Amino acid sequence: MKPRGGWAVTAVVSVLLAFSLRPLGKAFGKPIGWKNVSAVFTPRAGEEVLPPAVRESRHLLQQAGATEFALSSEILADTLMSQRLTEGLYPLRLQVQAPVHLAGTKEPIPKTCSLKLRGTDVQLLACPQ
Amino acid sequence: MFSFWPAPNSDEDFPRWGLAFAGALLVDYTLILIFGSLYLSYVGVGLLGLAAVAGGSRRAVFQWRFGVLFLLFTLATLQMVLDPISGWDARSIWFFHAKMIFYSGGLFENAGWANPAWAWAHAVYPKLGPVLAAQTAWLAGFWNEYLPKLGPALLGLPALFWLLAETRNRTVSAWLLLFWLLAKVHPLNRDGYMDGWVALYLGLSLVFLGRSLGARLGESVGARPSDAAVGLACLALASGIKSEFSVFFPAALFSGAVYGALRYRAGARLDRRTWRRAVAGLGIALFPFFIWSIRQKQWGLQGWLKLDGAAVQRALARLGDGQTFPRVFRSLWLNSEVLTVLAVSALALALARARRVPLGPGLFALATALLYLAGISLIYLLSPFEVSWQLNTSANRTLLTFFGSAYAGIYLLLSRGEGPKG
Repeated sequence: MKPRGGWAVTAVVSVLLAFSLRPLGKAFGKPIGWKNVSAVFTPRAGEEVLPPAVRESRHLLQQAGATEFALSSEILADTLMSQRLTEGLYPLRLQVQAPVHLAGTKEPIPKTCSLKLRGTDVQLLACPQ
Repeated sequence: MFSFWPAPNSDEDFPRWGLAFAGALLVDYTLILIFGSLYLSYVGVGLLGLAAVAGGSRRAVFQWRFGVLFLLFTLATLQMVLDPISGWDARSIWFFHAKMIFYSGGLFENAGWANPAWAWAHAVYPKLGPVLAAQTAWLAGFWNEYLPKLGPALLGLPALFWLLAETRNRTVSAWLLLFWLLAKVHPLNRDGYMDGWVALYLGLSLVFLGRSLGARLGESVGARPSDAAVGLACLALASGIKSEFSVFFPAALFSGAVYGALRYRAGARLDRRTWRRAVAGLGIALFPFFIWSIRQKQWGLQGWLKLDGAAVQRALARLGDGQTFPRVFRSLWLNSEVLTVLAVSALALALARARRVPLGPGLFALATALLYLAGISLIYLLSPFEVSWQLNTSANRTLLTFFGSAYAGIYLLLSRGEGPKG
């Protein structure tokens, strides 16, 4: 025979359950992004979450017909930009030895490189190895 | 009875559906780990259909719980998919891996996994989530920042079946476990992280393996025939999701061994058949984990933590500097949420003792939770990164597995003590 007192456990659990409703509501409370329904079925949709410089870089690299690129030391030091450029531009690949470099427009052009294309935030440099 | 495939009865409908979905996800993942090609995803999807038809009873569809499951899964999935991939790790790790798999047509070395230029992407991490995301994009024929999130969302199905199966006896504690786990893991799952999924499955593995072990050790813990299979499936899924498994698994093994030893002293014995089946079950469950470990070696992938002399020296120096260890201890152990969960665990333990229900499975889960916490504390001390930075950027996520495990322990203690059906 089971010991008595199960109601006390149920009561305690019920109180805990009541306290858990708020965190549950908070977890599921984020509005559903209905406006994005059509974007779900659109190739490359949602790239606006990437910094504008990433989208500009893709445009410049595609214009130049490049499949791989290197990053300037200034961009490499910027964790956000270097990671977003690397994953956002894939399958265009980051390769340290690539002949095409992405650099900020305010960065000086190294002596071994020449300007290939220039955008608002980034410039594409030809740096033969 | 120690059965890996539960007998058909209405009590086992939901666990069987969960096992069918989990089995299909795992077979799919294993095939891709072995052969690489995404074409095999169709095999996985086909197996999923077959397994669901063979393994799941149509009766389940006519239960009101199925409606709850459908609503929860639909709501969670809509929240995930209609929100673009924006979380840091989601972009830099999980969906970057998925993108590499998608554009390479499979899990192949030529995607550039070992490229040192993106060492921050932790290519060594398990690939179940990325594989599912890549397969979704591959079936659609294009990549975007929304649709691939549907793949990892499928990971929710087995867990929901298993959690809702627990509510069958109408125990309030089963709803408590469901609410706690969902509240804790959904925000991260929604944002494309894998930390929530791994915590969910590691926590659930303790519920089912703890109960199964308790029954094998002669305790009246209300185990189901499916518990062993479900627990092993949870472990298998977790091992393919994220590396927390590597800290959790030794902790669970140790707690399980201590539990077994204590029951041994009380006269409980596991027969040889049970041992053989347990070893075989673990071998099957961890097969994808071993395959991925082999791939890591073949492709020269290395994790950020090397357990070498330098790491030990770092840990010793941090233990002695009077600042780092207290910082780790404060963040992980004196965290208000951790203290609250520990207090609730103590309350659950007291209530279970008062009700004289077996404490073994619950204590096994709570001991695993504490050992896991000790394990991640040690990893922060061994880490090559600056500890404060690493704690600030990851402690809230690495703690999730502690919470999942502790919730499992609290549930195991309370659910048997609950009346009148308890």
